[in-house]
Amino acid sequence: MPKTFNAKTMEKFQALSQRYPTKDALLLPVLRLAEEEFNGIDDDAMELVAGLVGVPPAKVMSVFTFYTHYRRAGSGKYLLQVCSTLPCALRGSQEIFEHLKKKLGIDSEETTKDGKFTLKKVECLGSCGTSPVVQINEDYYENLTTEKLDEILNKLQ
Amino acid sequence: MVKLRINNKEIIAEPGTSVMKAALDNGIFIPHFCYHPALSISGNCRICVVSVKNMPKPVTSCTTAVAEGMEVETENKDIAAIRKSVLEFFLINHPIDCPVCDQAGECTLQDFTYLYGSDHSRFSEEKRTWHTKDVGPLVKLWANRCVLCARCVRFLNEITKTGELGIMNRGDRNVIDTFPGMPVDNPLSGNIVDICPVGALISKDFLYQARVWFMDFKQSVCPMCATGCNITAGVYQGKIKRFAPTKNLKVNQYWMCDYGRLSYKFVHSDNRLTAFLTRSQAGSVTKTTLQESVNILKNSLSGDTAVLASAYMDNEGLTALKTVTDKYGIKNIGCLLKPDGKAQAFGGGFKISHDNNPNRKGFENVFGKAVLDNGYRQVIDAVKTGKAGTLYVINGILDYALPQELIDAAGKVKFLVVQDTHSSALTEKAHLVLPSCTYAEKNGAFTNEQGMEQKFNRLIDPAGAAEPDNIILNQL
Ligand code: SF4
Ligand code: SF4
Ligand code: FES
Repeated sequence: MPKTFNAKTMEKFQALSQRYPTKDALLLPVLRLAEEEFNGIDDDAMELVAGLVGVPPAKVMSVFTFYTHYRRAGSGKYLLQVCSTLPCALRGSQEIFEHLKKKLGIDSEETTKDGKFTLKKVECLGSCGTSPVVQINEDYYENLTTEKLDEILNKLQ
Repeated sequence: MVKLRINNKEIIAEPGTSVMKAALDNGIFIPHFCYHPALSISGNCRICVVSVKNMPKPVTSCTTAVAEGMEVETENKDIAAIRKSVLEFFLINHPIDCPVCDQAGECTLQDFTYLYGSDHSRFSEEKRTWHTKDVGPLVKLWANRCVLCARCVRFLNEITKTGELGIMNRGDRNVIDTFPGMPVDNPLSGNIVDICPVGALISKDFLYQARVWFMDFKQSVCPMCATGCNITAGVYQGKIKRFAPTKNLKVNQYWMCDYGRLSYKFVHSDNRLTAFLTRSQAGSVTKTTLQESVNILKNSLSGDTAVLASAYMDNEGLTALKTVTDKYGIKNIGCLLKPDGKAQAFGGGFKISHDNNPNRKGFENVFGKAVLDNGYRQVIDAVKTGKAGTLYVINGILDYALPQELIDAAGKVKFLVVQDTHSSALTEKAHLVLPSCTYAEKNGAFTNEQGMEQKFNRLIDPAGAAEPDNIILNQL
């Protein structure tokens, strides 16, 4: 089904499109708009963004799939993004990832059956000083250990 | 202008030119995957490294501009070692399936590995694998063979501006793909097969048709429109197997359209005329010879003959026809034209002409504008009103159905002569049928839209007894 932005998002889009010098640059924040409005990005959302920004859909797809940080359509209520780049890796991110994998019974890019959690290995979250880091939806959880992580997950409804 | 030395050869180049271009323009080859003279610079493949005196490290020649006094070395031990390791990376995930790859024999990955590569692999992990799939009506993608040079992506962004392909994912998971439901189906799609340096993008039409090293390559000119793209024909066992564009910056740059690319099929179609034929008034058909046909024709041509000649005739044929019409005092001459299409323009200046005839200009040069513009109408009227005794039609237009009014009118003449490459409703009526060669079966020349006379070469033997138009006409 073709998608459209609602009036409020459209307004944001208009404002953004004044601010960016090139279409390619505008693409990134407009993908964020789509992510917010549709709670994740699917092919239809990419097509919508392509039309609005004025680039081919394949271009949008190449940008969208380059970044791990955008939310895919169909992600769970909580998107757990485990940084797996070097500084986090040196400070135990692999252990954290394996722990989550076992605990939730899913691999990277998979969602638990109840739709609550999606697990995702991502590239640098830019918080190396407080590694290892996991981003859960919009929030960073820093200096993690598996124990701390269990506590955090228990609090999530 | 900038003066520099490449491999000790003095070279003069425009400021801003890349070392790569300066070298190539002067006959010095530097290996490259991603560089293409008609596309923007990407600098991603790193095989084009060269040494520049006083520069601390080797540089990629496609991204380095020439400078006064620069001294470049394109081959030495260090450069060879770098190219070897660059190739090692390329081959980590490459399937090396040359035995079944259509690109084998004209693959730069093969060629550069042969020149600089290692004779064994140090990689013992599992290779990552990707899709093999159709990406358009003409093109199939073997993503495992891709070297991610992005030539295809740049072509589709910069020349056709359709952008159907993108590089998806990142890092070692990079892969070429289309957006779901949006195939590469623009009119120039076949060119991405030509510019893909490896066997990742393959022409479905040519797939498994012939090993390139068994083909003969000859130069020709595409006859399907007045642009007159220069082409290289690949011929195998007497059959044309593929067309690819030949670079000509004044005509077609580096490209050709898909319609022209597949047009060799018209030459090999089943309904080619292969014999001289006579048809009696009662309708019985007899095979005859060139000589006999010429004799019959000589006896039926006169001042009240009408001639229709197509703009698919080459300049040799048209000149020979002019001599014949002058000799017999034939005034009723008209031009048979394939109807116009839509002109299409692309990035970098490539054009598909609206004129679907290869030699309208040539016709005009020989017979003049009045004949070109009004002759056809006059001939049809003369035939309809019974003013023409004999009608001599020289056609040869490819992928074309003759106008119904001509077919209807032709029934009215006493003697109908049709010289053509393919059988048609008109050859079914003709009293004399002369089989003629297509452009692929003779040497000749067309004058394109810009007025450039372009020679083409005989690619294959004529179909059956077919003869070039001028060979027939010269005997009249
Ligand atoms: S498919 Fe061919 S042209 Fe396209 S990026 Fe891969 S190697 Fe280059
Ligand atoms: S543009 Fe015209 S001349 Fe060129 S390949 Fe197409 S049909 Fe042939
Ligand atoms: S040709 Fe220079 S980096 Fe590819």
